[in-house]
Amino acid sequence: MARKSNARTLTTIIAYVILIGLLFFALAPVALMIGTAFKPNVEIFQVPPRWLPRAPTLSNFHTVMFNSGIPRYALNSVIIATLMTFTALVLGTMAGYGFSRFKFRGHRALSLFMLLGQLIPLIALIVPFFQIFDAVGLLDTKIGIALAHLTTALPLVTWMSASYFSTIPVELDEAAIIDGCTRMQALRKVVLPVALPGIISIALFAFLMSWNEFVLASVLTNTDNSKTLPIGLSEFATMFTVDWGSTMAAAFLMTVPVVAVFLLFQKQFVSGLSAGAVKG
Amino acid sequence: MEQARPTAALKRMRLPEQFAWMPFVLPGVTVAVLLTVYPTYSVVSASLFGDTAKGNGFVGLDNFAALFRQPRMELYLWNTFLWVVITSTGALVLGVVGAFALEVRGIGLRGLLRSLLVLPWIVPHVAAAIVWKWFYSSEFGMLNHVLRSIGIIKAPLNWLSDPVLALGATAVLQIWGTFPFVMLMVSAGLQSIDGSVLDAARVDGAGWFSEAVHIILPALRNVMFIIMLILVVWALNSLIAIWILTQGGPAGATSTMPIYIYSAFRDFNLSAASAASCLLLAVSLVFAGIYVLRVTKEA
Repeated sequence: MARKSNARTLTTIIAYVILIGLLFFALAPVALMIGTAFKPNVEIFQVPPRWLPRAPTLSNFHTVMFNSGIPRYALNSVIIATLMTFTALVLGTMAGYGFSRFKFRGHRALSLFMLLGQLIPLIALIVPFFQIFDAVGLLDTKIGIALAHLTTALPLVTWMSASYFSTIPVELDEAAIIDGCTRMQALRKVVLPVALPGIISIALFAFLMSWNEFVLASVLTNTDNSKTLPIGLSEFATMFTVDWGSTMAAAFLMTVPVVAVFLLFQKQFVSGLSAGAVKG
Repeated sequence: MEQARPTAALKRMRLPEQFAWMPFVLPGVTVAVLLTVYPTYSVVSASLFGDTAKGNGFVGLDNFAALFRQPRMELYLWNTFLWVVITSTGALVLGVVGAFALEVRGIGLRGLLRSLLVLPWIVPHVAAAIVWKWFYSSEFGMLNHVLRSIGIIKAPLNWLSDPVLALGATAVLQIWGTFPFVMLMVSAGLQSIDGSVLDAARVDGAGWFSEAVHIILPALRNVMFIIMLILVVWALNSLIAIWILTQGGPAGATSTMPIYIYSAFRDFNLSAASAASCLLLAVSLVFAGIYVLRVTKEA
């Protein structure tokens, strides 16, 4: 008995050592970002570096907010992500509903195709996207970027909502249809309201996908008219002399809303992840 | 009282039921086809055209031949392979170890620990890459400072400009950003294992080792395979980590296929970019295809 409890204590200690090591690995860069964002310029290039500022300041945030393109790019990002998310939700929940409620020829082929779309390598499509968008006049427009971001978001929304709808009993739709609804009305008035919690987390997934996307946005934008936050941030950091304080402040501002949203919806995020992306 | 069968009401609807799925599924599928199939067709055909004596014209596989004549193409392909192997294995190992450690009995504050460990996956990729660039800075960087103060290295290392270190340094960033995903998926897999099976095994005197080999690993085999496929596809197509940290340098030491495509595109060398894109697309689609078939097998 004593041997067994010793073994258990040892296991617990090993687990803690592993977790503390992982925690340091995971959080050290985040801590550095926060610490540097609040450091005055004189402290940033001090050797040896310190984690925390001695005299914390908001001057880096002031630079980002009033002397950089970041607020403009953030606004572009919000507009693009909102437009894209709305479109993806309309088309994706309809398709998801169709996949979850109907049996038809080609069901498997079409749903496999939509799943494959989630993993399409965007970097391999930058040439055609640039050429096509150039030809139809969508280069450097917000609508263009929103459309481009649908490429991976639409399949994502379709699959996640299909797997969410399949947890909702079909009897609900049938009751609505008997009461005189068309199929489309049954979806809109009965099924969607029931599915709302799931739909919200799916919408957040899609929004964040657009908020973070770099490859397509960097190829399809070139002025303040449509540049998104990731592009603005990357330009900040690849200038000849990098203002690290302001760069970290900008990175911090981009990260905070994402982390806040994640913490609020953590449960739905994780279950959505295992339901939509990986099943089984 | 017999209730009306729902199918009777369904039959009264305007469209015959066999077409009823169309207005739901087709708009989304059509947009998805326009956004994926058409660009794919377009990049494949672009890879077959290029400069000829009579201007732009059909050149067959010349662009691909030219691609492999690039003096450094062997290095780029090797880097891509190495990067995919290192980042996928690294993320898988750290994620599995983390998930198991979190499930050990008696670990306190499990929820908080999990949330904190997931943070790297949540931080936007561009922001993360920029922070790591600062973290790696040879002169003012925190990493060199920490490693020197605990005596692991004596002199500061040039993480991003040393050709030997740079590829590994960029891989660490990718591992950092993806291991939490593995951890979450494996955790979910572990929690779905039937507790009564484990109890029965313990009653029969199974130690932790035979428990792991006979119950836990078989239960996780499918989810691990799927995770591995996703990690490989992500790694094959990852641009930001390397582009922000090194832009493919020094001297091509961190140039992978995505970096090559992106650079060729920026140099307006669209034929080379298209040919390389087709290559990458083909390899990615093999892994993505296996993933798709595997995921939908049980459904």
